[in-house]
Amino acid sequence: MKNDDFINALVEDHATRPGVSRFAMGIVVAFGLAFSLAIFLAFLGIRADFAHVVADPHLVFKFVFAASLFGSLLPLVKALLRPEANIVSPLFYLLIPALVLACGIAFQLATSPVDFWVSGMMGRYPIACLRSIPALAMGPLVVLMVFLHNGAPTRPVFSGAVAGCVAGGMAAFIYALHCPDDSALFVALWYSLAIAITTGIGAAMGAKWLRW
Amino acid sequence: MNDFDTKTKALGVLLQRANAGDALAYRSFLEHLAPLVRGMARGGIGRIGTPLADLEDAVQETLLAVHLKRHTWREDQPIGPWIAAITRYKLIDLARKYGRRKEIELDETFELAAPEPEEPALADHEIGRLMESVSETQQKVVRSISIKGASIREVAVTMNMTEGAVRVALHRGLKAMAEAYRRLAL
Repeated sequence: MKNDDFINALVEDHATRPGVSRFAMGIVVAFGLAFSLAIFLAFLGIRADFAHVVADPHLVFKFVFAASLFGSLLPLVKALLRPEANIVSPLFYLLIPALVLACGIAFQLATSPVDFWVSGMMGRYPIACLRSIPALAMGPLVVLMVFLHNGAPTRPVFSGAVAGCVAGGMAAFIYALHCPDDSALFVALWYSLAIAITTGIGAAMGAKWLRW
Repeated sequence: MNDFDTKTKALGVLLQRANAGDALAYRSFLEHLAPLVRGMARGGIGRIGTPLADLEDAVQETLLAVHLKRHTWREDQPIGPWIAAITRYKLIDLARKYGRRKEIELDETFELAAPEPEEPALADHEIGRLMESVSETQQKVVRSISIKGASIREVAVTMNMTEGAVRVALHRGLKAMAEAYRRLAL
């Protein structure tokens, strides 16, 4: 088929517009969190003592950390939609959550006696955390994948990894409603590990689904 | 402002008009884009040692990618880097496909070469063969619109379909072709 012929087909197809809405990013976040929350309410549920600890800085820290992680990465997701995007080092986007995490750890070390550091870090339910956060991340991850697939990311594995990390952050935010382990050291170790897992899953999905 | 910037600036104006619904501007955009992409592809292909027979495949594949991803260009941004990025991405696909056949070292840093205006006269290349993997109806629709230059309405009449169905078949057919191309590269 000659180019001129082929162009006929593209011109005729021009009326069928693909498109991302300007509000798409907000919708992605809303849908992602809603998905995660729905699974959460069906299988886990909010911790019994939630009303008593709601103002506890330990709990607040978990939410702030998770929100800062996925929130800081959203501009990166948006940039990856465009093929010509000039991505500064991904580490730049992780500065704020890293800072939040460092503050949390410092606060924990300053306010709890040395004897409680290790037991706080290991917590009571580390394995549940490692299982739940990736499970809760699957909904938002699929939403993010569809979103990125509709764009034109030229680095499929990296884009998938970023999506996995964002989904992990969203899942951590939801899981914090349930998680009874409140030490910032627990968050630093197990939440990070769980989010690393979702990042890996995202990278693998990206390699498969984000090529175009 | 260099030659590439001047040329692509005009393309930006055309795509902007096309986005506003001007089909003629869209045709003009694609017709001007083809030689530009051909030049870039020739530069890139020369460096990876792929035979020129693959050149027109690369051009059509890139045009198809630009078409399917045209909503990712932001009208307030220069269009040149956007086009170059898509072309580079598609050339890497091509290099990967060829690299597996011939084990050629891949240098992923393509440079933009001067545009080549003429279109090599190739009767039927890969895109024709790719059509085999597309459903029969979609194939018929894409073929009659491309080769015979029929409009959606004409195809709807001859194939006894609604215009909406033709539109959908065309769009899905093009997407399936892009998908088939991609699978060849894996």
